[in-house]
This record gives sequence, structure tokens and C-alpha cells, in this order.
Amino acid sequence: MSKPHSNQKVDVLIIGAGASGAAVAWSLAETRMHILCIEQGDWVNPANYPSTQRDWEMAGTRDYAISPNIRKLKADYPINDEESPIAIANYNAVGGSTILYSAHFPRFHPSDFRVRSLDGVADDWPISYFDLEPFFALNDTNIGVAGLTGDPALPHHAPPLPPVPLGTMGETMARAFNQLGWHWWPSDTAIITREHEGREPCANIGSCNVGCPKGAKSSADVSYWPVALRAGVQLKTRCRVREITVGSNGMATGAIYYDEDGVEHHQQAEIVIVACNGVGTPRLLLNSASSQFPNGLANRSGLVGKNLMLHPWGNVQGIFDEPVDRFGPEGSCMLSQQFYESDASRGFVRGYNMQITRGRGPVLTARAALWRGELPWGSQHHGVFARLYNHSIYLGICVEDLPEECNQVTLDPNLTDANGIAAPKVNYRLSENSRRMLAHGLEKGVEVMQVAGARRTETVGPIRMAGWHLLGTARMGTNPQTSVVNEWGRSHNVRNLFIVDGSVFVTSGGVNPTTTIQAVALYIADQMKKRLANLFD
Amino acid sequence: MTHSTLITSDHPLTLIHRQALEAVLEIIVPAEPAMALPSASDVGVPGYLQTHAADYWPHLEKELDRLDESAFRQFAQHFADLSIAERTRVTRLLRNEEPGFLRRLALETVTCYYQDDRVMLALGLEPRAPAPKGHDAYAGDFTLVVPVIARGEIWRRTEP
Repeated sequence: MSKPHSNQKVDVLIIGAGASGAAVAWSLAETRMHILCIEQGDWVNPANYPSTQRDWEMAGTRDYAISPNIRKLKADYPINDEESPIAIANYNAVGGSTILYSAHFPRFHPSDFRVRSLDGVADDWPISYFDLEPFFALNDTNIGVAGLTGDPALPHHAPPLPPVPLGTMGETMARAFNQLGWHWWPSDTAIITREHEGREPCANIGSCNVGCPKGAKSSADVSYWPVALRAGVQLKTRCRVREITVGSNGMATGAIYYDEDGVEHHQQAEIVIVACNGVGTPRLLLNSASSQFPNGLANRSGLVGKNLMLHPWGNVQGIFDEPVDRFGPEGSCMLSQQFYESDASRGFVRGYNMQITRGRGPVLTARAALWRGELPWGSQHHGVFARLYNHSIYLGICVEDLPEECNQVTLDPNLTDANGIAAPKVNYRLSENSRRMLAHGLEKGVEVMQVAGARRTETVGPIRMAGWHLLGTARMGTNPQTSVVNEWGRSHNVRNLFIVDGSVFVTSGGVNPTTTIQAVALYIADQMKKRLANLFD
Repeated sequence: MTHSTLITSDHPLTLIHRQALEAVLEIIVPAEPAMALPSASDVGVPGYLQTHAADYWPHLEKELDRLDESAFRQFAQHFADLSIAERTRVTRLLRNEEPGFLRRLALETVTCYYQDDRVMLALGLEPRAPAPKGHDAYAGDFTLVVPVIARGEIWRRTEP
């Protein structure tokens, strides 16, 4: 085998340009260190997003599908998720999975960091909500979070931009929640509702989940990256890292990657930061096994890849006699956290978030109804369609997933990506606690839909194609025997190796995790900056 | 709309197949003049299929053959020459025998149909891509949060 092309050494090598890699790059830029980020995907051209095309609803099911196993783009790697009832979702590009996320941006609660102390399950985090609070606020300001101040389900915080539209849909649900005496609130949303840092506000294009051509959705490519690049961070795209290399002193020396032409490079670095998400990060660490780390890099605890948490997801569709408006941000409008905190009388511990989302466009409405056998052929077709289209509201149930070592990411013995690198294999099952919680959520979702006036409801869960939230596979903690990184993201075993993505989560909370992922990444970057003089001690 | 531009001389279907396809499209989604809605036979489904579902052509041809064979067995006529009621009866029988029969055609048909200009206008939509223009959205009544605030904080305290 020929020797890899050796690149000039950098101070900091960040692997992955998604939500966490972008935030860390931005934060560390002020140190004036030589920072290089390597990303296997490319920049996405917003002019190519499906919503710029007439067939946007179907275009979103192809190159912008949430499963890499469906997209099969050059930037993607396959994932064997056959032994999981939940398929893995991601997007590989500058901006990572934020390209396709709904930008629903609820924070973790203080209780999410004290699960063992409060409920006797899982583990406490080594940091608290209040440690992260300034970084939640910093992130909100950096990317432009819209919302309404005063949510009684969280400690006081003030989103910098006004909330996204509730619409008649939101009003309908708000009245129902009020009638039941349940909590609801306009969602914190990573969508700018007025001009922010030169970006134009949301135009209610309504197809956020297949990319925002307006740039109003704060995916990391349009929020953090332009600023980080202007500050001097370098970003190389279409480069796939095979392994992180270590020297005889047990310190990381850099990474070997393939460029877009398949040429092998060794990028040397003083500090290596991994930001590849809860599946990609353990995959990379396990692929970086060596004589010093035979079970995978930074894996003396044996916990790399274990404790995978995915947020089992359920959906309640309410179908109403009266039309509801469909335009506005697709997946972020309002939430209810009435059942977020533990209540022993419910038969499970921890809780879940209810996320209200808008109905589908005409094509997907028709296809889904036809598939279910609900939309007839012939003279009845138009009447049935008219009663479905613009008459549906969806309520998503995001269930807190507790960590279990049997839920894990390993390396598939046979499957590889286009560069011949071993692909990840996911083994995952729902716990009894998750099943009970999901059943409770679906029941309560039907209840609120009925109070809202739905003439009919449909429930589904757990949904297979919903494995967006990839957490827990390189957890943080103070004990090297029971965690992979310490309380500020540094590997217990490799003193110049940091992990900043959702892998470090100790528990999953019951909400979409991106704001917490970015707050943790900013917190770790801040800790690094404070310790630069003795970072490796 | 963009899908009605198939050049007849390039049409991959035979005349019999073409007529059978048109006839079955009319019973999948018929016209509804009162709502200004065209029939699915009038929105360019063949062109759409050729562009977006080329893999389905060979199977479609077999399904159209089966429609015609069944029409001959029951009514001694081509499928396309039957009345709407007779066509409906023939297709219902085949779909009862085989639930997946013509399912793909129906899915592709509604996919094409609900992108047609006339259909979008009838649904109250502008016939265009969502971007860049976007849509007007009603903000909603945010004073509805008043009762939520009145109930007080619900987050669980963790610090002493």
C-alpha cells in the first residue's frame, strides 16, 4: 500500500461540518489557531432544493430522503439498521442533518441532566442545564431562534426573534390544550422571522424538511459556517475520514482521509475534534482501532457505540371538518410539555414532548390516502380528497429514550462505503418503558385532537423512518470506567481527542436535541479555550 | 402543465394500450366539471410515467393487456370501448383478485394529477413551485397563551 499524502499540520482538526462541528469551529475561530474541518459531503446548493421545483413533494423523497440507504449519494455511507425497528436518518453535507431538520428547537429541561437523582434510572450528566444556559442563549443569538418569552415549562429564557405563525391550525390546537388545562407553547424555532445577520426572514415556503431555499431555516451551512469561514476556519468538503491516527505516546496525531478522487491523505493535527453524530462518531472510533486501542480508539471503557438512544416517535393525525391553514414552517409551530416530567402514576418514568406539525401537500395527501385504501377511484374521489386535504393536523410524540448498553452501534462485518470503510450496524430495541410512554402519548394525542374537534384520528408509532436523533454512543462522565469523554468532552484515554456531538449525551431528554447538541458543543469549545495552556494535562 | 408534451410518434405504448390507459385513467380520477377539475386522462399521465416511472412500463403493459383480456371475456369488447360502469366492473374484479393490480398506476396518476395547473388552481393553490415566493401565513392569536401562563411554572426543580 502506498504511503498517504502527508498534509501540513494544523492546530485543530474537526471531523464533520454538521450542527456541532460548525458551532465548535465558530467558537474556536477566535483563538486564531489554524483550524481545519473535513466533511465527507459537499455544500448543498439551495437552488436545487425540492421546493424550487413543481414536483417538490416527490423530489423530497429521492435525493433528499432522510435515509442514506434510500439516497445512496456519493457523500453517503450505508447503515445496516435491519436489526432496529427505527431506521437511521441523517444527511451528509456542510450543515449535516440540519439541512433536513424541521428546526423545532426546544431545549432540554433541567431535570434531563439529573435523571438518576430524580428518578433512579440511567445516570446524571456531569454538567447541568445551568452550566449550559449561557450557551443555549449564545446559540439562540448566533443562529437566530424565534419564539415567545415566558414558557412556564422551562426556566426563563428569551428567544431573540418573534415566534413563527401559529395559524388557524395552531389556534385550533391551542384552544383544545387550554380546554384540557394542558401546557402548550409556541415552539422555539431555528427559523428567522425577521432579518438576521444579513439573512432574509422566512417566507412560509412550507417545505422546511427538504431544505430551505430561502436560507431562513438556520441550518449550519447558512448560520455558523459563513461566519466561521470569514474568521479563518478552513473547510475541506468531499473528504471522508477513514481513521484517526495515534502516536506512540497515545495522543492523536491526525486522521487519514480519502479526497473526492480517492487519494489517501494523512492530515496531522495537534487536536482532533470528532463531530460525526451518534452513529458516525462511534463508527469512526471503532474503525480507528490500533495496537494501542485494539477495541477502538478511546474505548477502554468498552462503551463506544453503546447506549444508543433514538427517540421512538409516534404520530397522531387529526382530520377536521373545517379547513386548517397549511402554510407556515412545516414542522415547528407549537408544542406541549404537559407530560414531559416524570409522574409515577402514568406507569413509566420520564416523559415526552408533543410537537404539532402541519398537514401534507396535495400529492402526498393523495398518495398516503390511496395507499391506506382511503381515497377511492371514481366519482367519490374528489369528495374524499376535499375532506382530507387542508383538513389535517399532526401531533408528533417524541419519547425520551433511556440508555441501554444492548442498543448499540458496531461495525458491520460485510458492508462498506464507497471507499471500502466498514459501515455501521445498529442493534436497537424499544424498552418497555418507551413502549408504555409512547402508548400514553398516542392516547393523549387522540384526546387533545378530539377536544380540538377532529372528526377522526389515526395513530401510528413507533414510526420506522424516524431515527433522526442519534445520541449517547460516547457518553460523558467523570469516571473513565463508565464514560468515554470527561465533563468537558475530552476523551478519558486520548488527551487531545474531543467529541462534541450528540454521542456525548448521557440521556436523551424527550425533545428534538439540536439546540442542546449545539449548546454542549459551544460549552466544550469554551472549556477548551479556558484551558488552552494546559489542555492536555 | 409539463407532462402533456409526449410526442405521439415517440409513444412507447401501442394504440390499444394507449386507449386502455386513457380509459382506466378516466375511472381512477374522473373529471368533475362543477369543481373545474379535469380527468386524470387529461393531465399528461403517460408523459409523467415516461419521465418518472420508466421502470414501471413493462409491468403496466401487462396490466393493460389483462384489462383488455378481461374486457373481452366479460363483454367481448376492448376495455376502452366499454362504458364507465363496465370498465369499473372489470377493474374492480381484477383488483379484488389481486389487491396490488394497478396500484402503482394509481399512485403515479395522483402524483401527476395533483401537480396539474388546473387542479392546483381548483384547490386554491397557485400553479408554481413553493419557492422562492412562499406564501402568506396568518400569524394567529398569541394571547391564547394567557391561561398557560396563569397556571404557573411546571418545570421540575433540580437545584437546592
